[in-house]
Amino acid sequence: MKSLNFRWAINEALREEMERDERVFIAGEDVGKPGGPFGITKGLWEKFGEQRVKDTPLSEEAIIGLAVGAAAAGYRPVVEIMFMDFITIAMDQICNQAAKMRYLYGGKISLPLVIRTLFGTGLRAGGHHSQSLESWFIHTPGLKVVMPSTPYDAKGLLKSAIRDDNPVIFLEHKGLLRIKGDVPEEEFLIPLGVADVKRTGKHATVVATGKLVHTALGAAEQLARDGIELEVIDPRTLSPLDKETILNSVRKTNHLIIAHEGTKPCGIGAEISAVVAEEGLDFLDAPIKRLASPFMPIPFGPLEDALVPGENDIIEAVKEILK
Amino acid sequence: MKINLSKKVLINMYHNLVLSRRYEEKLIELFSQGKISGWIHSGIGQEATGVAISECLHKEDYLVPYFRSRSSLIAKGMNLSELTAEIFGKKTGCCKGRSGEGHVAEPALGMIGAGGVIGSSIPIGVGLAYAASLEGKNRVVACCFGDGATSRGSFHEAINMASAMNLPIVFVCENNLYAEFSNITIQMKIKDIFRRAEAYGIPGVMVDGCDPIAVYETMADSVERARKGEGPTLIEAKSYRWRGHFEGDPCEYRSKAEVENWIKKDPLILYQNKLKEMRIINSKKIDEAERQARDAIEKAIQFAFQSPFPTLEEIKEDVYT
Amino acid sequence: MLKDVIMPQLGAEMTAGRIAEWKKKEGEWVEEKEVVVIVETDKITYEIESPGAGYLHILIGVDEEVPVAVPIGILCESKEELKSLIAKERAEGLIKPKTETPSPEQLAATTSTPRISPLARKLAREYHVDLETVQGSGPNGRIIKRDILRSIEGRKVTTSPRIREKEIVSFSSSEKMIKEIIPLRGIRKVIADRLYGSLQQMAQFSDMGEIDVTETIKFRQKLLEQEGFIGAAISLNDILIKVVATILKQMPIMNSSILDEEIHVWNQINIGMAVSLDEGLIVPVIHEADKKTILEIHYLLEDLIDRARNHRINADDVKGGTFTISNFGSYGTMYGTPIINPPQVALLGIGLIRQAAMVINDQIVVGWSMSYSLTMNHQVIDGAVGSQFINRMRKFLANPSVLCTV
Repeated sequence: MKSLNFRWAINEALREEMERDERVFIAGEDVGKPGGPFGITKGLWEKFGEQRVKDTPLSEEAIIGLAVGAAAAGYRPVVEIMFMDFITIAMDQICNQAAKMRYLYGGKISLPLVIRTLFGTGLRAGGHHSQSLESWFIHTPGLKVVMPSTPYDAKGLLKSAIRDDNPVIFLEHKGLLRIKGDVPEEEFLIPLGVADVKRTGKHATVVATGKLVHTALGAAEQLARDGIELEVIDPRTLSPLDKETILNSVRKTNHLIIAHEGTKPCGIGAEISAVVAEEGLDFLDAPIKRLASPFMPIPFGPLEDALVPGENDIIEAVKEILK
Repeated sequence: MKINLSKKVLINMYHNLVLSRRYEEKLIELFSQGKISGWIHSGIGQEATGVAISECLHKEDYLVPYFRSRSSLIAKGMNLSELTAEIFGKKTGCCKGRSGEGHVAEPALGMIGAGGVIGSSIPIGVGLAYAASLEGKNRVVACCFGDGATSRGSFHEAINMASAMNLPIVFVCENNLYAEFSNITIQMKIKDIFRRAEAYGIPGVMVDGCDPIAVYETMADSVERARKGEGPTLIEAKSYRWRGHFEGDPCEYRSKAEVENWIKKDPLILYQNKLKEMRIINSKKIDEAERQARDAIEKAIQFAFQSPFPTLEEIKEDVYT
Repeated sequence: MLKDVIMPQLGAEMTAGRIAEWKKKEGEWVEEKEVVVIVETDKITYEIESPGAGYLHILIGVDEEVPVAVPIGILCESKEELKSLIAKERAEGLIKPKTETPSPEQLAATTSTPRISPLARKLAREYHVDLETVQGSGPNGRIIKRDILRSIEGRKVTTSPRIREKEIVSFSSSEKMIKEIIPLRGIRKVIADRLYGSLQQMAQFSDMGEIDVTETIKFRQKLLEQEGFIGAAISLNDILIKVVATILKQMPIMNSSILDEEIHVWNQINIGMAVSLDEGLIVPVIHEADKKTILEIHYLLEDLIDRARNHRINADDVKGGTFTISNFGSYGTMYGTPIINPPQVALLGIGLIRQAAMVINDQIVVGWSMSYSLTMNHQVIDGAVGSQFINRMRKFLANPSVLCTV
């Protein structure tokens, strides 16, 4: 085992996959010579050259189009959208083209592309640099959506995403870039579509995504002192969702809370709530509770911190449903 | 650069032109008889550009098709039966009946990228070109679209990116003066689309889209440039669509006189005459070409009629690998 | 003018009764002496006649335990009187319409937050918990899992022959599987409480063995042959009661109770005979059995058993017992560990009476053998005393003609 931070775990995954398969290449704004706006692709341009680590113009739509075309031609592009907020510019290429091309062409091609993008709060940079927009892509058939929360998960999942022959949206929480975690020395993969029970417990289940996985674990520590054992589940892949792990947990604990960034309407919390209500209604001894960001744009500045569910919010919610 | 067209090329283009024209006529006839579901966007009258474009391409080159240019598909070797079955929505179609007429593709022949959103194929063409540049085997991409697509942001982003990256791609814009139901003057202030190339630092060329020889010469030139690594070109082929945006369009937005003027300049007739003049074809060869076209079309139509639709189970496949 | 309907005293030792059923509804007119309520005590139900006429106002609802002489209802002369009575009670915050169960329509119409969680509803369905009887401890009084589990644990599972086969559902490998749940109520509950209490209060032990009853069988046979002359068919039970009553006169310690850390030796010898009914065991008593002839015992016993089987027994019939006999031999059982009927100190269980091989004077002969199981309270009676009791029984049963001297 070695200790690696989140950012570097992604870098390693990219490096290893590019070494393994020469069809893998990177493209995006400032990913090459500058090493990436967050330093995630640092060193790759030097190692693999400018053709395989390509700096592009400021053109999100064309960047994704580039990925689609190159993937259709048999390559494995990993393109970057600097801030998830900008992914809106490329919605047609992602949801109409990438998501549907294989299907509409009778299964004659596949598009093994990965779109990496930085999402979520953490920079206090305002409404166009902090959004969590995963819902739109979970809603689109043909795409896979992955959201790791630890360096271990990030590395294993990104490698799997690159090897997956379907278009994958790989979501990196910008507030997690610095966190450290243990990562094996030897090569490892984490399959897509499998959730991770980050902490076992018997009194209530908290399904959390991204940075909120750590918030939930912190809440669990505090609650344990009061004798309340929280089970924390990190779905890791949001689409396809590992329903079974979540349902098994709720069957055991009879109580469910979902915590995510992004707003409530049609969020991953809404989806999980519906799944549990449809397939596990009899497991529930109390209503399901969702914790999410309020239904408003995120303003600039330190107020951002208060707009994301915190440990105390989770603790209060747990205590309320266990009453 | 003067390109010498071989006799083979000239005859090929002629055969494809005849086939494309008769095919368009047949589709229009079948549609009016209610035998085709969905819609038909007829390219009748515009076939010349397509046959010339594809004639310049090698088998390994990519073609991102302009939706109205069935002639470009035919000329690149599309199986007519599979194309027809696809238009009819049958499971034996080249896309298993899922795309229909609108976004036909045949990845095996390098025909990729067409879709229902006008202009979205252009960045995909750039991606194909990028892959070609990584591969280093001198493949080129012919990225074709109509005049309306050049109003899309995707067009501008794509052509800018291709230019900045110096990619092996030829952008071919068939300007038939109308985008859906709007005259081109609604779409843009400029009169000539090829002039846009200058804004991106690449050559822009205008050509008579109704003259296959002229198109071939221009296209061959641009393809050569791209293969040599000299980057993209924007070709504007001026032409006209005889029928509405789709079959059933009453075309209230243009005058009958205008249409008739263009029909007088029928590319097929003009080309036929030219080849006769050059003694490359005669009446016998014309008849032969017509007969071959008729037979091929008949075979394709029968195949399509007899093929089954996909089942409810079959249409659920291939969402993911 | 208001008139109370009170919980009546229905037996010398009754301290409280349970309201089993109101035969008249709230506000209904009741005639004097009309049956207005059914009350239940230890093992018996009573129809209570109204002490007067009037409009009934119910004070205490069904299933409530009420001490004797406490008002359970009020009869009002007029409807106005009834109205003002209710208004007064409301004003004093007393009124809780316990007998007013909301109709299903009323329940459905309530717009308050849901009363029960999906999990609790499922458990209630599976384990036949009547939700009306469950108190919700969740938010807004919501019934949740722990409420259902408490309700289930509060019941004891019986092994009455009435248990039906049911699909067994388990929802986790650590949960017990319950086949059926029968509410512990009425006589069953009384028995349950009494016998459990019996084992808790006393140090019970049993002496078991066989008694040679060959002579008694012959004796009885002779009596049967004279049935016409006697006027009745004397049974073995009749004889046993007489024998036991006689021995108890000779061994009064066996006819006692521990009360307040004192052994009370009873004057009367009141022998109870256990009778098995569908709803449980009932023990009618032959009072002063020692002073009664076998024939008198016979008639009394016959009458008691008949009335018990027809549910016409009354409280005094089952009160005052000082010793109990339980004849389970007719079921084929040989030995048992009968539980003493508190506050008595002993219970004689009679097991199977059958022909058996016996060794008498070094010879194997066929005789009649009776199994017995005598349970005693070791706090009062030691083994030796029990053996004495049994030996006297042997003596009597081997020489039944002695009975004509007692």
